[in-house]
Amino acid sequence: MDTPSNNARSWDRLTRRARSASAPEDVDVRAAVRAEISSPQPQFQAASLFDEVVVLFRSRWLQAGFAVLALSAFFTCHQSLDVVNEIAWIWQFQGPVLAGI
Amino acid sequence: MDEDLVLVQAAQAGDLDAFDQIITRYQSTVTAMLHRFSVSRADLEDMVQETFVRAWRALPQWRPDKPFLHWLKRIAANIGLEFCRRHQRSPFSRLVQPTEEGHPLDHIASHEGATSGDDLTGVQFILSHLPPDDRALLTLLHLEQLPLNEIAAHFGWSKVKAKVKAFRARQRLKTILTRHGYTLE
Repeated sequence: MDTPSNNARSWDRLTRRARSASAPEDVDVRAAVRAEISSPQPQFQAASLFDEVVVLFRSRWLQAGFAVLALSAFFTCHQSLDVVNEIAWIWQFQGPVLAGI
Repeated sequence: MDEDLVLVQAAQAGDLDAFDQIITRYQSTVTAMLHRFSVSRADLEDMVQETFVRAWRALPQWRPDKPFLHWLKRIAANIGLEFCRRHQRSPFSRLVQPTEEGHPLDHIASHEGATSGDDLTGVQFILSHLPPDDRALLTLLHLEQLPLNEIAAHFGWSKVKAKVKAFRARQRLKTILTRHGYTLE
């Protein structure tokens, strides 16, 4: 992985040669730009709140967020189950102890 | 410079022919700058087109006290940064272990017959393994050879932030280069 190269390769030399690469000279975007700026801009129409919510819930990041939330809730409950059992177990001894006192 | 002013003011007033002349005048400069980000013809044309479309939409904000080309380059630099963000590699690509045939990074421009175009492709490939901000910063710093102050101004960073980012980007680059047998010098 960290083995040195058999022929010394220099980043400086590589970038120096890369800088001399010429860009294509025949790029002409005039027609494409004119077509795009001449076309009417799509007007924003306020969708109903329901549509907005539906669109929001379709987004991957929100779905992933909910999935993570659900998983972490599951694990928290799963892990705290033992603790709850232990508390219940201690609780059931508390009655006789208190009665003894 | 005065001709710039006349053309830009005409374009600000909605003159499409004047804007056509602006494009004719500056598209080779913008193309050369964005070519540092991608050698792919399709990507390059998209970026150049997007630069001028955004420039047209932002024309009302341009003020004659700043050079028009500098303003245009700022838009182009941000298009380049967005390109890096869109074409970001998975963070796990940096953890790829070499196989028996080696790692793709080991074979970049190692042969003598490599052209400058091959070298540019190689540099872009290496930089593509960095986070997008680092990639854009080092592209402008090492390939376009812009001063750090100018890069900071293009991306709306403070000079200190640009210096810190450049230092961290170089460190990350050094790690990748060392791993694949390159030296920074």
